Amino acid sequence: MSHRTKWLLRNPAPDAEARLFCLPYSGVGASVFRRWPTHIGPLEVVPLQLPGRENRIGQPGYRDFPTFAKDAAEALEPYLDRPYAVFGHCMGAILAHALVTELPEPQRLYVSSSRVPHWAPDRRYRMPAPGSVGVYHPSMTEEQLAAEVSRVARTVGGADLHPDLVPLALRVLRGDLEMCFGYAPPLTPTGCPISTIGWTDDADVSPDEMGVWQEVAPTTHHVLPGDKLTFLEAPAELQELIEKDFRG
Amino acid sequence: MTQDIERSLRDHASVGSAAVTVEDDRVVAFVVPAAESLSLRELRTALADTPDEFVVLPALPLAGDGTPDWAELSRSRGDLRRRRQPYVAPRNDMERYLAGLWEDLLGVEDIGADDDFFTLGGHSLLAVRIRMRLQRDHGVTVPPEVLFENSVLHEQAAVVESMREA
Repeated sequence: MSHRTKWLLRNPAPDAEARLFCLPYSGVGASVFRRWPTHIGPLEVVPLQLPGRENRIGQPGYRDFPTFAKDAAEALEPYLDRPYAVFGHCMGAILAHALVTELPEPQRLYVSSSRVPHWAPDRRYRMPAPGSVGVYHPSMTEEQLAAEVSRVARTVGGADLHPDLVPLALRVLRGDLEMCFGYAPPLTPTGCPISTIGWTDDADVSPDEMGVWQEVAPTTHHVLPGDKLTFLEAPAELQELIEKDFRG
Repeated sequence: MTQDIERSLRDHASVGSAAVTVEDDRVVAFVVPAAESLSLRELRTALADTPDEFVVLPALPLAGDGTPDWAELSRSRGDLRRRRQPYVAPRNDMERYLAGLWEDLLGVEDIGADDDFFTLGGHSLLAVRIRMRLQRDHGVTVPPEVLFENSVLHEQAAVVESMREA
């Protein structure tokens, strides 16, 4: 209990068989995984907290992916003493991919609702399609971003985002969007297999586009019922495929 | 004993479902709140027999036959323990006030001075409720980012005290 890193919300279990490091989407912190179980099969669920949000709000957020990946890999080093995988949703998938390329011997990368990092930013990100929830674009005004953030809060929490939180949420989100749009890496293989998770009602990223990840590494594709935010509830089908693909 | 506690928990309006067992010689009650939040203090007061500890969960994991999945419940208890820091009793009025408030918001008992709000399951909307309660009970307006950054109980108490004096 003596060693505490702010990258992790809690100390990983000393007896875990394996670990699943989880990266949140843009604008939010590690607490978005609070509805996930503590374990999925042999994997202990370990959400990562990035600087600039929640209990790390006093630290400046990252401006680029390579710096994030190097720092995160260094912080996780003490916890890589057993098999592990990395999960990311939307921007979290791009973070997860960057992180995995810095880690020694990851077993698997799970990516949900995200186009590939090696597509140019203007191809990777689109203006929100009609009916989509939780899609942001840097060309959106503060008012448009605020309206969308509130829509996500209503969808996820059943209530509007509290007005006290709007400026904070927008600050984090704007930083994340700029970081995403400034990122144009070449195709970078992961050195481990990938599982993709597309969602039938995802109005932003179609299951077909998830297929492009096979250019990065050998890939197992999955399509689950749900929309862009369904993963927050860790549906049983998602847990099953995570466990099954991890066991190979 | 465990069955009696389980029955009285299930009968209580604030409890959705409950399962009670003995682990490490302690009576442990796993409870799912009926509504958004659950005050374990009020629940303790209302019960004739009380468990040694509570573990509050969003849902009760069930085994194939519909009975509680005790292995999974035991894991949840272990997880909660790992989220906690070694217990240091709150040392002044503000620490005690915040500990009580966190206990109600997070559904965790005996919150100590070194515990972390986000580690124990807190999130930004709950932090806003801390802010509103501080306004009401202590007349002090604390920006949400100050509550976020000072997410360890004794740090939060110190910063709230300093703002109250200013």
